[in-house]
Amino acid sequence: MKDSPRSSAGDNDQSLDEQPTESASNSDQGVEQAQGRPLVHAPRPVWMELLLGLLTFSVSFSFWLVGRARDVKNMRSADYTPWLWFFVPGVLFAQPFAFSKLFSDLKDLEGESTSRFWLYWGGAWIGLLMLANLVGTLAELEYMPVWTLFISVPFICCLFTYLHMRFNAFKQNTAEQWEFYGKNAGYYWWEWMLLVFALLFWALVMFAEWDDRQSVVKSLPNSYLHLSEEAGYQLQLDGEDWRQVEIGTYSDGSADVEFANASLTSYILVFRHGLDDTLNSIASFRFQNVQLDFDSTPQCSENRRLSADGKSVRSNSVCFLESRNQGEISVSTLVKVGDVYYELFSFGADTKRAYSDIKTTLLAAAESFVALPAGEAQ
Amino acid sequence: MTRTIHMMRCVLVFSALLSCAAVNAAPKYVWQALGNSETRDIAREFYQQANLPEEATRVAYITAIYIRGDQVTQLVKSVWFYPRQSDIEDNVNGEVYWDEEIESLTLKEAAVVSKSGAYQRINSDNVRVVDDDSYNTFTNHKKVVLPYSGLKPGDTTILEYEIRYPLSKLESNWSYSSYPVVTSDTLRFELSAQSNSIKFNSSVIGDRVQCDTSDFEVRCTGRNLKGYKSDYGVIWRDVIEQIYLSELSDWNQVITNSLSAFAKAELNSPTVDALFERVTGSASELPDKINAIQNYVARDIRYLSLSELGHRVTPHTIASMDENRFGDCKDKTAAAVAMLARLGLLAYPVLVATERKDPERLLTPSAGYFDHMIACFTYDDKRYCLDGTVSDTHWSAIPSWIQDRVILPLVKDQTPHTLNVPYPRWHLATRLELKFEADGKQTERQIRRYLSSYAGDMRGSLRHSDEAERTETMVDQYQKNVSSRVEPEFNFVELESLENYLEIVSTTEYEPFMEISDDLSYTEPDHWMYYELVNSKLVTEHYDTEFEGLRASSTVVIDTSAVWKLTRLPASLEIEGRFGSMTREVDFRKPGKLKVVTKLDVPRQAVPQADIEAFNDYLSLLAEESSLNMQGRVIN
Repeated sequence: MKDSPRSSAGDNDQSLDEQPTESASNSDQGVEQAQGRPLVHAPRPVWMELLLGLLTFSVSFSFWLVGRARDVKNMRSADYTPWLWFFVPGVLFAQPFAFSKLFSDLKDLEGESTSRFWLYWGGAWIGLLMLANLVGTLAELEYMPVWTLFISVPFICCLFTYLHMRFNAFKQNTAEQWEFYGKNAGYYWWEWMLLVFALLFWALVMFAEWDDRQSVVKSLPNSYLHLSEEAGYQLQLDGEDWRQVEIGTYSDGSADVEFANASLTSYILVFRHGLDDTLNSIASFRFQNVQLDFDSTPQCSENRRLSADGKSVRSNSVCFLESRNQGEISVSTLVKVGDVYYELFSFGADTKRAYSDIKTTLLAAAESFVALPAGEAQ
Repeated sequence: MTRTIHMMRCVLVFSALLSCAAVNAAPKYVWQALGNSETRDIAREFYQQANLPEEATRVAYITAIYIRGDQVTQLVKSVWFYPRQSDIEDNVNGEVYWDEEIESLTLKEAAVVSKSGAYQRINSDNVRVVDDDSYNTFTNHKKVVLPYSGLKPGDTTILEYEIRYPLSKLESNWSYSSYPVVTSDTLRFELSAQSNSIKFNSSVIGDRVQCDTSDFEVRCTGRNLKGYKSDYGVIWRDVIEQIYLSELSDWNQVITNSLSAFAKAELNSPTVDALFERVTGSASELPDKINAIQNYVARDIRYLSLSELGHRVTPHTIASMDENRFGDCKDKTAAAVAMLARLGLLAYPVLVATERKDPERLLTPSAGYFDHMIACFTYDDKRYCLDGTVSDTHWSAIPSWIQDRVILPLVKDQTPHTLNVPYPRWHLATRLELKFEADGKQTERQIRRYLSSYAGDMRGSLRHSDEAERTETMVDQYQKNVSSRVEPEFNFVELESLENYLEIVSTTEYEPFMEISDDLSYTEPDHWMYYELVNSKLVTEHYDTEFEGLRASSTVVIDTSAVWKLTRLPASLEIEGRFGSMTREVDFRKPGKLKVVTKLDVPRQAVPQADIEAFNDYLSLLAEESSLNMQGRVIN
């Protein structure tokens, strides 16, 4: 016997989908009822939803929305398919229709008690949600800075939390009409699973960041001139979030210096070749090796021109593989320093949008790679 | 292949003879031995020095010129010191240049003086008179060779002689050139000239010799003059000190006098009208008529130097040349000018100094600087020059042996300047077609097209040998520069005719030398471009020099489609440096079929001595980049 939502909440801890299976009976419309009253999930504290949403990067609100759709379905005997609501947060164009229906049904349920905010600003809520989702999507696709993602997700969580408050208020005001089920405090086991996965994910991110930071020799400014007076070359690196990393991070340890960008999608290495190595032998070696870095056979071309001092030839080999969604590029530039060749080798692979920037950065770095005038090299 | 294919024809005909040409024969040389000559005193005094030179040294070279009325007397005293056996082995003889037709030569002293004071005069029976100029077998310019007897290391040789000739017998105006420096050091140089009849117009180049000059007297002295370094690619007349005396003060006088002599070829005679019709009658277009004129003067008229008395600077009549069917540069030029003028072209004779490139050194007006003559004309608003002594270079190109030489067009108000050539001396285009057959064999077809003066040089070297020799030469050249695996077949396009290009075509087939089941890693050298680059290096060491220009293009078409799919293509090139450029475009439209076009342009340019090493390094760099590297995968 479940007299009140509160008393019944603790006993219905068995269901992932908040299904009180032992007492539910379905009507023809699929409305779940108990004791003749529609089954409605017990109100849960706002902070719990917000915390869960923030920790799971708003993923928990997809599950939450399934529950609220089921609530409305049961309250109004409405034609809802709750599981479909799981996808609403991820499908931008569906949101205006879905939330308009939800708010309309809620308004009907609330009657006169509907707050002014939802009467007049419900549309604004939908608009803000869509905007935040759009910003988040663009940020994920790297059309917008990453920090916008870290703004949009909490914002989305706040929007859903505010909607949760509306549900809570309505349920509490009309508690006598419903048979409450589920937890009115605490998380379900699957929510704990979600939290565990989220925490694991964050731990992995932190570890990767920590690991990445372990190899970082130094972070570089957006415009950085690497001058190796000892070796006798220089290169200019223009781009955000580039770091000099420890030798061996990307090479077999034979590089003279290594750089990588923060997203770990591209790197630049400088190698010193031997006295017997010629432009042709190095270019041939690199051509054969670089094939392995690409997903399939790239397009390659080599151009040679005179070095700045007019005494040697510099070679620039570019291989690239571009598809509709992503691009890969490698650049090998050879310059003669004294009696030996130094090679700047770079590789980058990323989504099409980010690839464009990477390509620009790597080609510019290759172009800037020059031997120092004889007097400046030690 | 030898790059210097010079046609030396009229060299020195003018320069040595202008100053001393005469109509009447003169007596042979005579001996007039002196009792105790000044040169013997100079030698003895030289031995008083505490430290004698360690290398061959010109101890003294003293020249005195006296012009009294019509008579010119030139007295020369020369003393040499030879400290080493190797100096003596180097063919040490006394030498006197002498035109026996107008000059009387008196030998006054020729002997060996040793440090101990011993004196040994040469045996007059050993004196020989030989032709000095092998290129001009009909000149009477001789060399009197005086073999010193008893010469041993540490001895000095002394020589004194006197040359006399009358001014009135000269065919041109009087002039005299002196070069105070030789390859050995000169301790004492003196030149004096006095005149009571003609005024001297003099010029002195070089600040190591001090000269006092006036209208009728010139005195120059130099002491301890370091010898000049002879160098490949450098004409010594362009780099050493020079004293030049002339009786003329205006280049127009030189031009007028030369044209006056040139007119004696009877350019406007009816015989020449008939000759013109005969030579050009069958040609319809103007360029064809010019071709016909060149064929006539350069090929139908064989070259024969005829600078005998009265024709040092004066050509024979065109009629007599046509009748004899031989002539020298003046005769050929006269015929060319006469016929080109009949085509309505502005044609004129041009004097050429084949041993001078620097017009700035021709400071004193004189025809004596020049030793050759060509015909220049204006066609289509451009200047062309036809050298009648060159039978293999088309008239649209300047023959290589006179490119960049100093010229004096015999046209009023002209002054000496360089015969500039707007194109490189070495100009060629090659095409290589290479196909890999399914069994790994290679079929190869090469075309080498030589252009402009390079075509003339190549034609000159090939045309004058028989077919067997020619084939042997070509095969040998191919095997040295391309591959010794095969013996290609050769044929030639425009070898005999006087065209502006010449093609050498070779075809051959190589047996398989690569494993066709393996992936391809292949280097195809651009053999002929490499050859030109390597052979274009400058070997001048001590002086500023000039590069004569190299332009080459190569098209390589390689078909590997029967065996391999190419994966790595040759690099494209954009090499542009201060000395020249090399560019390459790679066209790979069909898998396995590659077309590579390489263009090389190293223009004519002055190369300072300090830049010669950098220039040669640059050519090496280009040569290294001339080869094509590629990789491919086996087609299953």
